[in-house]
Amino acid sequence: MDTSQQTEFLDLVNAHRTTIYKLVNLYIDDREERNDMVQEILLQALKGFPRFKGDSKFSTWLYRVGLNTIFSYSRKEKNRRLAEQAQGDEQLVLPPSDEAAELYFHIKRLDDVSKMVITLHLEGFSNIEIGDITGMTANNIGVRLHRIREHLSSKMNKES
Amino acid sequence: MKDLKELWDKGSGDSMLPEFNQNDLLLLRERTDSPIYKLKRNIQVNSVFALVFTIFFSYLLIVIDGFWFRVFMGVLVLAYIAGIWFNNHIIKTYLKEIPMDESLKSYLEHLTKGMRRAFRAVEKTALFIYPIAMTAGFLIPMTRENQLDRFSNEPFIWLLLIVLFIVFTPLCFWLTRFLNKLAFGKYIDQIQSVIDQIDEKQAS
Repeated sequence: MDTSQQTEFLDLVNAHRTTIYKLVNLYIDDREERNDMVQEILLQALKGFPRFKGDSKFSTWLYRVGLNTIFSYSRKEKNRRLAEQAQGDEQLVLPPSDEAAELYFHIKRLDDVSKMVITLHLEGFSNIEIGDITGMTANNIGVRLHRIREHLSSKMNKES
Repeated sequence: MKDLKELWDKGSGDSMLPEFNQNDLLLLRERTDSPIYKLKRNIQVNSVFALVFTIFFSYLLIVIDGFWFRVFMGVLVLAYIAGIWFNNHIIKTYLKEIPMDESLKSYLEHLTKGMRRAFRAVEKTALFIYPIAMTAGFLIPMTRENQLDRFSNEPFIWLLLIVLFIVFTPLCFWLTRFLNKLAFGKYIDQIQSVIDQIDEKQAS
């Protein structure tokens, strides 16, 4: 990849860097592993960038690369323990006082696929785009989103 | 849902997040704890050992006289070369890089399919390479001591060889399968569970 392509890549990635950080924060609890994963997503995106022809939005493409990278790595034992601990302590951990953080708190506790579907939805992707990223049909995403929305609303109402 | 979207956007400030720069790109190195990387490395290490043995056996083949010794040693060398070739074939065919921009489901399916095929292929290699190596290893000392004629005179020798075959062939196969499961079983289950979760949603 030449310098101009690298510059183009950096411009695009920096414009969408929240995508990478958000995904990693949602799925990885261990701080050290989180940094490694950000680097890995960046590497995979860099390697795959010559294949990006602009057929889809860059954000869609980056989400695909990010999710594929996260799910294809064996999430370490320490991270799994932290995640399980968080699940187990759900009743004990006080939800964050800030509403936005509270929403994040509940999304983080969803199963892997629901977490992915709602995150993409909240990021503004249409059901067709979510299907394009995940491999699910738009119809089923709609059904699933309805359930997750209900679940999150009940959680949020309960806390407020 | 609009409320949740507003909340989500509110919590998505990015001013604190560091930007990536050219230096970051230069420092990027592939993680060595990737399961695919580990599997490829295991197969490559196996090939390196096979290569070392091939060189050693080839040396013996050249320096030590004896027709049958050379025949059996030649079989052994060929078996090891076939093993190395097969390992290389496994890496190139089943563990080739999958484009990272496929949809998640398709990517994970390709990933697990490739790994499972690689496991089966490694197990098959174990099934034919080790018995050949074992037989040749059994026969080579006999050629050195000029005892090959015992094969025609003592059925016990045949029986011993057959018993070794019957015991060691499945043992090598199951041991390879067990070690693969031990090393990668949890990972494959983890990936399969995500695929199942996606499929469950398809069915709903």
